[in-house]
Amino acid sequence: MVMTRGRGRGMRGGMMRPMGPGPHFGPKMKQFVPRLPFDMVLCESAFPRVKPAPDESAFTQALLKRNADLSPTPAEQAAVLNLVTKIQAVMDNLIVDPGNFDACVSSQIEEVRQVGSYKKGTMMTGHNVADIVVILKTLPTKEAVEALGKKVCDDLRSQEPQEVLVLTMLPNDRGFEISNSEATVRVLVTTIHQNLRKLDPELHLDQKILQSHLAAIRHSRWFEENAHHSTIKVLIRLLRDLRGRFEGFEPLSPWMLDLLAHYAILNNPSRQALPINSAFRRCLQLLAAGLFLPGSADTLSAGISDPCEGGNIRVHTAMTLEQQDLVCLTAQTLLRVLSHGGYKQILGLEGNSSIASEMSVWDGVVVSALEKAYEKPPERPPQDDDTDNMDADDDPMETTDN
Amino acid sequence: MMEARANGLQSCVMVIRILRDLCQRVPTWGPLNSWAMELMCEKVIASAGQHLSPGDALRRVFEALASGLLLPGSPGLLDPCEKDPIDAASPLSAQEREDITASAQHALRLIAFRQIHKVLGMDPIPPPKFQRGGRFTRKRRRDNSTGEGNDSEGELDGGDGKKDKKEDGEDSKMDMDKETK
Repeated sequence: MVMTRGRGRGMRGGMMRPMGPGPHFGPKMKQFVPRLPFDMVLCESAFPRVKPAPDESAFTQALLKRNADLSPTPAEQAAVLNLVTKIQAVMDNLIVDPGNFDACVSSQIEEVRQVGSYKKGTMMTGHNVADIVVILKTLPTKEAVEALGKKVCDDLRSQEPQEVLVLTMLPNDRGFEISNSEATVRVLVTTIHQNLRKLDPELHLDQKILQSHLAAIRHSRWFEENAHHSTIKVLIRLLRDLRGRFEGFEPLSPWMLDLLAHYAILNNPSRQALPINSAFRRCLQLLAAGLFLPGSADTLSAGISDPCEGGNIRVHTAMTLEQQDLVCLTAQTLLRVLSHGGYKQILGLEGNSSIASEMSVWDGVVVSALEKAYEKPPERPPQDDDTDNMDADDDPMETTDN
Repeated sequence: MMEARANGLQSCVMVIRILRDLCQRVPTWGPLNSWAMELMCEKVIASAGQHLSPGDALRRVFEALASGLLLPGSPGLLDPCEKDPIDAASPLSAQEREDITASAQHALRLIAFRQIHKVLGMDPIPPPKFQRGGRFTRKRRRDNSTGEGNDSEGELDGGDGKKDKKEDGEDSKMDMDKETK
């Protein structure tokens, strides 16, 4: 019997069209509401505590210590602030008085904005790099971008002749980088929306890159309005550190981590920020429960929808299915290590990252690592209806592996 | 509203049956006593706050275990039938909790990546060969088709879907399940 039922579901799943239910679809409509995975914080009332919660003050202290270790030193902060301020001033001058700049490089600057971890206040020590997005009114040819870099660097040098030797300017496919001995400013070039259609891949910077720089502006705006709580910044720093030390978290982008941290701290019934220890654990719990996994045949996985993009794009779908599996299993193993008291190893205060991929023993309990579950679908002969199915779905990631 | 609740409970019964099979078939799950398992399924499924299909209800139970419901430090499963606060899963040792959690974590990812047959201990279900053709023949047969919804209902009921079954597709499935048991 189970077989028959399973077959029915499977077939239905194969035909699923999340966006396609007709007006007479009836009660089944409900099934296409995206579903969040189990989240203890959201249903605490259903699970009253049998015994009081364990004391977590040592764990909290370790989290705060790790954050302090990861935060930039005052000297680093001063150095990067200094360089950003100077470059911003030079660019502002070019906006106000484009006269001689026009003549030599033929670009016009629309706007200059600070973005990224510098702007958000989530920088890490040892990585003294700030990001600035420059929106050009003109089309961003590779030559114009390099000329802009030279011009900015020349202006900086003329302001401070003693820095001539240490200042460097390196053009790259995103714009250019200006560095002195203590800090780097990445200048990310993009152009106004109207220009995005006029790009020629032979002449201009890559359109995807230009769009990602516009997205970076949206992200930092959103962050300013929604995620200024200091616990969120601390959590982001801890998550970025985790991503750097555990290979399995590599597919998580900085933007995914920002949104995950915001979600873990503020998305709870009281709308009060969760303390850092609960929020850190909740990040692992959410990932372990499959927040960033594909949904089922019945429901889309809700994931976290990108607040800066239209059309309900769920951020985790930027990862491949294989990567989603890897991120999930890494979080699952680390969550078990954490529950057996291994927080020092997770935070990198002791031991190494092998706890995510090899067996470890905690107080006599053997914690084993997990195998991946994702398998590449077998090659299927091309069918007429393949495109049909994909068109019906807003998210090919969910269905192409039917 | 009532229907949604009833459907939720039906899913719960099915999930309990599947987990009971798991506990008997897979040694890792053996130590989980039935009362703790049933209590857990009910709490986890009822706390969803929305109607869940049997598939999603099962997945939610694995999600709860994967996120550490049985691990040390979790609130525990308060037994509603005891006067004093008792964890219904208290007979489980730390190692057993760990092993069940790891197994549930793997099962969750198998389900997410369409390999539920490995969790249920059955053969894979071959993918439907002629999805579109099938749908169209059904549509043609039913001149008064009201849309795709009907087709999926028909399949839910094992192919004998009638219009009047639309409202209680899940129930009829359960009936079939019981009849053949």
